[in-house]
Amino acid sequence: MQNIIKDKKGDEKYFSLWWYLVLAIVGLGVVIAVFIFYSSPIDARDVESKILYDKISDCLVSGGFLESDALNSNFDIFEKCGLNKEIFSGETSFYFNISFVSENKKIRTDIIQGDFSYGQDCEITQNIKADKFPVCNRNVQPFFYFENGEMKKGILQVLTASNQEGRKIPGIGT
Amino acid sequence: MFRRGLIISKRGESIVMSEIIFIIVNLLFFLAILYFVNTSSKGALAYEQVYAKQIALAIDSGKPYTQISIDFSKALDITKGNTDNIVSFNNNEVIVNLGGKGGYGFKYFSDYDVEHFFAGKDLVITLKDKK
Repeated sequence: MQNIIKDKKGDEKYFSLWWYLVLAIVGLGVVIAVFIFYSSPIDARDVESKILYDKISDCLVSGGFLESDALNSNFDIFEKCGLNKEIFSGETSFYFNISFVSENKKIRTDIIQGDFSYGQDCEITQNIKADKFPVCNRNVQPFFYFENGEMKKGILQVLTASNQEGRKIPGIGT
Repeated sequence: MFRRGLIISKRGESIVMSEIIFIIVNLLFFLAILYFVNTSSKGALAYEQVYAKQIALAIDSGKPYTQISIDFSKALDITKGNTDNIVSFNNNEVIVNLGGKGGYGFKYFSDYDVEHFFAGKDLVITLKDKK
């Protein structure tokens, strides 16, 4: 009887409930880790923000000269730069603010589009790191322009921001 | 004495069998874990997001009337060569669906008409000005 009990103890050493519990915890841990790793977002916000700046800068300044109609009050940035107006309106993940400066004063009102709160968010992220805040890029582009037949120098100050993470689209029945 | 020896022998066999089964069970468990990690790394979940973002950023970087070619071989490995509805464009959003469960969407801000087709294992995207 004592031997039988000892044998049982030998088996229990290998097939105890605790060991299966350890396996289950390890398995669950691996599954959760893999799922979190592969479903975590790839951060493309910085690249996107830089591309937005390039696009704006390329269409406003050509050969070092500011586009002639850019200083008009009815200038349509969306049409000129090939940007989709709907994407920058309503609940959007993008923002840009363009200032036209010459001799330390603005030569026209700023062109601001997208989520206006990003302007403040960009100020905050200059000093602190905040993951959920938009990623901002500040760039300057010098340009020449004509005023009353006289050629002048100016600077384009462009702030662009993106906070797009993308979305998983639920399938039918999920 | 004989009786005692026999019992010890039986107990020894029992323990050896237990050890073998124990090792086999553990091996099977860790093989299953390795298989799961391996299939997950090659799965749709990872590549849908990568391709959606790659396409959207390529569109935003491109100028009108340009053609962009993107290597789609890994995506086609997942879909076993099927190219039907794995890439779609809707309201300035590119949707890549490799697993047949909805897919992953990413918006682009450029106002282009986007056309696409597959040339072998490459996805070819043509950007056009909106009329």
